[in-house]
Amino acid sequence: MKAKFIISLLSITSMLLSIEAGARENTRNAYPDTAIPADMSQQDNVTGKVTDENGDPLVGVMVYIEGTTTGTMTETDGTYTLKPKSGAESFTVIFSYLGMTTQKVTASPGRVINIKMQNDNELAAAVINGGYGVIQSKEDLTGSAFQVNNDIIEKLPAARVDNMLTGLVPGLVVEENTTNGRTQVSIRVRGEGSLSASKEPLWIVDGVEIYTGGTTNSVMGTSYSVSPLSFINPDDIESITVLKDATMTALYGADGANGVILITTKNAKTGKLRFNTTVRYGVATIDRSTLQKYCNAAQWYSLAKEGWTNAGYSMDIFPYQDSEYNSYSTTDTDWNDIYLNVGHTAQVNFSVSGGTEKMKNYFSGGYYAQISPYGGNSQQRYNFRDKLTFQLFSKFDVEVNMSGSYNINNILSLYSFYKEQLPIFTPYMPNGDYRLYNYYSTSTTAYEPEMRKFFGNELPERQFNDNTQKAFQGDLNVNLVYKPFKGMSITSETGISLLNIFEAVYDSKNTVSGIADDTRMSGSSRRSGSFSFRIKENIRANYSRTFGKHAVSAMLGVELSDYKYNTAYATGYGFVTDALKEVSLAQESTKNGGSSFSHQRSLSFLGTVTYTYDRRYTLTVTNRTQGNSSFSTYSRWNTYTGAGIAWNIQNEKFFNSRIFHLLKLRGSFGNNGNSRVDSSAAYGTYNISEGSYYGGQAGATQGTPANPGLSWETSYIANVGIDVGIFNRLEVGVEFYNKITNDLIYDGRVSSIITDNSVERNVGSILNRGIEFNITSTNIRTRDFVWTTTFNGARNSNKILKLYEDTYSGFFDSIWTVGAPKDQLWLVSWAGVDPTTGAPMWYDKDGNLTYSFSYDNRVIQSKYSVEPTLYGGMINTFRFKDFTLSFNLVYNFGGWTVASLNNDGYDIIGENVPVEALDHWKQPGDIATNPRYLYKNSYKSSSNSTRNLIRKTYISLRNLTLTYSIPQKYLRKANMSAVDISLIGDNLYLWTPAQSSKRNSYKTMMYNDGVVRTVSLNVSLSF
Amino acid sequence: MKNHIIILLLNALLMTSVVCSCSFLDVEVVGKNTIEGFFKDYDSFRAAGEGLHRCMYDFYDDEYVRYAEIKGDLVNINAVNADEGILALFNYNITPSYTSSFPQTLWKKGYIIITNANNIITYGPKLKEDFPARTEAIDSIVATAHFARALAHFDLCNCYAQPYNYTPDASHIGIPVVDKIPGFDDEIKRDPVSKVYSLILSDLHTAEGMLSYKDDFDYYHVSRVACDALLARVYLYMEDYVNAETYAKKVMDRVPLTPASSYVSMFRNPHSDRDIDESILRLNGAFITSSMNALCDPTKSIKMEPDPSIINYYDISDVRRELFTYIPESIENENYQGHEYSAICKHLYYKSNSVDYYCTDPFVLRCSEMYLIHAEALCNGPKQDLAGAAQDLKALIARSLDITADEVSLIYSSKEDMQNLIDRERVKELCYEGHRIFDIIRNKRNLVRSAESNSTVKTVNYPDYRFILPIGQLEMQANPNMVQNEGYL
Repeated sequence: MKAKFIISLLSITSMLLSIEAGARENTRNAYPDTAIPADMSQQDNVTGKVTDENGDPLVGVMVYIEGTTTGTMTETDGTYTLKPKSGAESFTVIFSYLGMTTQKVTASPGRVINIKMQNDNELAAAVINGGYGVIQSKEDLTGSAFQVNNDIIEKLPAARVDNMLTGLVPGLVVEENTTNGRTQVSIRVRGEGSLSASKEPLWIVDGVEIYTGGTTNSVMGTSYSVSPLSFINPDDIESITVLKDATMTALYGADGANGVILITTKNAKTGKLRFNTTVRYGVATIDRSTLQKYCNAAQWYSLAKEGWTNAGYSMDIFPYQDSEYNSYSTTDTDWNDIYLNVGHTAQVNFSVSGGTEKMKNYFSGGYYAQISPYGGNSQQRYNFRDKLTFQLFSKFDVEVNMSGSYNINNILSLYSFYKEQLPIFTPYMPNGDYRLYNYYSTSTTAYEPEMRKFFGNELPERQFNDNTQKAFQGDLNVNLVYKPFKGMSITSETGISLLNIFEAVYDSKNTVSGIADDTRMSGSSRRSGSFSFRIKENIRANYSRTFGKHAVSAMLGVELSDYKYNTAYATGYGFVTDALKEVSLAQESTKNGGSSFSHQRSLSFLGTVTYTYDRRYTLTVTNRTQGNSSFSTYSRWNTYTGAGIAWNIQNEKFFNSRIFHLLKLRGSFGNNGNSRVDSSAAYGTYNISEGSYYGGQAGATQGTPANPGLSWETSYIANVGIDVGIFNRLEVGVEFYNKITNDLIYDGRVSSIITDNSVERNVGSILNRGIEFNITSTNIRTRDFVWTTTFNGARNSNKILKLYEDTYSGFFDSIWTVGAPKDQLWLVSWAGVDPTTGAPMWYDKDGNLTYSFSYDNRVIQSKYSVEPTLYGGMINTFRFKDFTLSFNLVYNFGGWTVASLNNDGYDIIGENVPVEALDHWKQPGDIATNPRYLYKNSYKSSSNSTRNLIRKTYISLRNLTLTYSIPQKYLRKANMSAVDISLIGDNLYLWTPAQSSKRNSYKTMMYNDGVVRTVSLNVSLSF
Repeated sequence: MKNHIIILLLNALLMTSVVCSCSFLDVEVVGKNTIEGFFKDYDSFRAAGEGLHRCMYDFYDDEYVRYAEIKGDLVNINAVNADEGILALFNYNITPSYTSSFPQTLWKKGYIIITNANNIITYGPKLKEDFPARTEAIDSIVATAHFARALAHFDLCNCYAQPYNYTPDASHIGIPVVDKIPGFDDEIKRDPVSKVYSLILSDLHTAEGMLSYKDDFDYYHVSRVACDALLARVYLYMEDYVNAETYAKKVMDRVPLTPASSYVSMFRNPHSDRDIDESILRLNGAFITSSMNALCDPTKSIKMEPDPSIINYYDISDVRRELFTYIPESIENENYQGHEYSAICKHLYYKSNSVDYYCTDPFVLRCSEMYLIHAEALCNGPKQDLAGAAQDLKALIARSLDITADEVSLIYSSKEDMQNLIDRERVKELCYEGHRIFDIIRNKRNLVRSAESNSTVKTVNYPDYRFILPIGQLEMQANPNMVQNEGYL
């Protein structure tokens, strides 16, 4: 099959080349025809030649008379002949060409107008970069791709690139599962398309895939994961394109199923040297209104006493009684004050760009630093990028693109329940030292106080422990481009991407957990590193030409990629002093270490063809045949194909509307895959382990059996879209998609003769179906005031179509079951509090009232969908004279989640609780939301029920930017081209329903540790 | 012209990349623990051989021996501490839905032996090409795998299928014969018992051919003698008395009987020095916490103890009697000291003599069994050599009483008498070593437990579906081709 594909590849290549040769001959023959005949009206014709900036003829330029249907296109030599209606005396001729500035010239019959078209600097806005040199105009687009250009992202927080996309792309959800910022956030494009394989999109920077954490979505080899997406400087980004449907993603074959995110970095521009620099400084604080509300000391005391006495214990033996060591009654610590500070961000970027036709260069450098308001966390990034393009020989260009990023991250992973520390503890001793012990009793029969280790105090950890990661990410991309004739380019693209991380973790002997005791020696050190190296070679031919009404664009290529990943670590305990924290100085017997290696290769043949007839009908076909070493020979190869059509109705002769400037229908269908699975499953493992030792000799037995039939997951995506544009002011795009992912890999059972364990099998099928819209509108456009809005939204519904067994119930609160969305809530139904006794009540499986909680009573809560009704974002930009104000909203309506807000006193003596605990039943007749407060009760309220459900609706003001651009007249004197001064606010406000200053709501539950609000000042200069 | 050059260039580029690509995707996996990568090295292959012995150990030290004894008539189960699965087995009310030891784990562990054996059998020949100097060593590991595969099929067939002689041509349903590494989508179904036995015989003969006799063979590993001994047992079960006699005799000629003086130490202090040892194959439990030990140790939560009537089978001077009395030693918890317990000491090490006294070395084959097989074969064989059979029994009895064979007298007048004597001697010699229930059913006897038995089931008449296990529910659900045993439907 492989061979067959090669042959067809070669023959298509040859065919294309001969078409080109043939086209030239035709042109030559055509010459006399146009030159000789002369009729009556010919002298009225407007003629001329259209060239590009270099004077080369441009073919396929639209030439037409404004307000009429009279028009033509330039021939292969750039000439055109326009026949105006007889009688016209003066009219405006419009020259329009993709990627060039449209020109208008006033003309009269018989004139000769030669035009030199200029490159359009807003090129990026009109085209979609699909990767592999395939650049499509939005008009030709048949599939689904959404591009965010640098003007949108340049003022967003520069900490990490994935976070920037929040609310900007229809159908893309960014889930920050931690506010700590540097671990992986999860990104979902059009819902969850997998069970156990990666659900993350594929990230590609300038053609090279970057490592974002594999199947597990966290960096392998280090104990804390810092996302490599935080190593990219957003200031270098020209555009980010999110590819969603099959015609676009099939080109990425086995890794395209979760969508593809292409990052294109800025390119050099010819002309005089341009220097650009940006400086930004910001102050970051925690938005206190988004922090979970916990009891203060007085509130906690009242609850603790009530719970204690209700449980039948006397206050004489209450565990916390003032002593000379702890003065509980006078202490009221808000632990947020202890751990949350004021943070700072600073960034400096500069770039130099310029060159000639023969050689041009873009160089940028940047520094970014963030001292997080979460004490103990900081991030620093140093990076450079250089993009050099030069003409080696005639028609032979070389592009060298290299970048490096060095990152230092300090991490303090705060115990996520730090808020549950009792407010009557303080982190300091009266003399200012860190408190390592508290003096209290734990008995329920007598007051027997003892000094007890204070593990909850993390200030010593913050001060004495190290948790540092140093990471270097380097990319090198070398393109050799040969352009044998117009429209044709042959490219060899070599991409190398390496990532080297060193992690140093040291737990000091000065902390509670580091103090030596019977079971543990003091001080513990771990050093680990991971090294990832990817090399990719892509050889391709791109062809793009227009012949009269026919426009063809095609690409054929071969791609090889090789990926290696090494990790190693060493650990040791028992250090003489904290100054000697390297593992080699640990106690000999405690030293331990390990390493791992993985290696993957893939080989692909890929191609795409787009044909457009008369700017009305477009057909695109994309194919990639890919083999991957992760899978054994049986299922190594797979083919992904997508095809799409588009109809630009506005270009039809019959459609002559003054209202609509755009009316387009498009549809596509195809498949793509997901190969990011644990590859050892295909080969099986044989393990040497103690459990296989025999008579003291090393023994080995089979771990997992080989599953040579294991194959990648395959998604089939149908996409239909309509684009409508009105009055050159408003454009609305609506898309519907239906995505079925088959052969989902998940644990299934096979005969226990093969293995008794569940094994990875291609067992399931899942459907994601949804609608997305994007509206861009210029609401007001006058000379001094412009107001534009973009507004997007999406809705996705997910349904499991097939599982190995129809239900998988291995989770506590959710369930997978055929016919329902993935992770459907599966909870015991809450029936309230019995007003006479204050006892909690639930409904059992059959709907009867019960006073005892049992997991057996969980039912599928289809009333509470986990899926939002609508989510998306909105950007409004107002420009008044030299001021620009823009704000960026992100919203989510609907969908339910489980929030553990309830504490009915079970552990009230040991931990602080959310303020909701105050709303409990106190006396017969009370209609309370929470039951009678009782220490060590049997309510099992830590087990979730529908009592804990909360709606995920919110609107967030993500970004507000006010920019003042200094007028040109002042700048010219200073020899500058642009100076912008901006005041930027991030995360200024979060709205959720039922928010209250007294109680918790989704606003306080959405993030574990609140929202970081940043206010910064940004100055950018260009000259 | 230029176009031609470009076409050539492009084609050349494509061709080059394609030629390169043929092996491009075959990533070298040495250094990884993928199965193929693992078996590229002789040392790991040898480790796989050790691992296979460990699989057999795990099977014998736990479910297999327990199964044969708990289902028999020689033990009592201490119901207070016994788990549900064990009690169900003891009371003959196992159902397919038990996912614990019976019927599921026994099945799984048996097939783990077969899986690991199949890996060795598959990858061994290829390894010989890479390590020609190791041919002999590799062959002996491959032979081990054939032996282990035969043993596991034999044992599983005994547990999940009616005995070989249940139908005249053994055409009744057996267990799936797995003679290669099965794929996830392969049809795995139960084969007739005759087919299972033909695999067992062919595997054992293959192993025989790859191994040679050694005088100082290591009884903790599979040897040529072990192949002969297992063949003797298999032929006995098949009622092929001629072959059973031949193979038993082969072994008896090579392996002595352990004398009375070191008989007890063979069980309770196996790693001590013994000049004469009758072990043929036993599984090395050193450094492993034994599960049989835990089941039998009276100072722990005892679950299995001897039926009180058994001790009366033995003559007062019989050395084997010692294996029924457990006297806690000084190193044990003083709460137990000074007591005497009736216990199954075959699985209990002397604590003072051994560093790893929670260990057991279960027997797969030992020479005493060969004498019993030989006797039974002579008694039931075409020659009906009752005197010969008596001679075998006398040898065993004389050893136990530490007297000469001439001093032993046996009273019998018919083949039935002799068979009864053999049966009784099998109980006395081989009790608690994983034979009992199979001896009952292959001889088509009824299970009759003593009056002191605390089981709810005192008698089960042959034939009965409960004499074999059901196929576990997990297997039935996961494998659409699996057929349940009659009576358990």
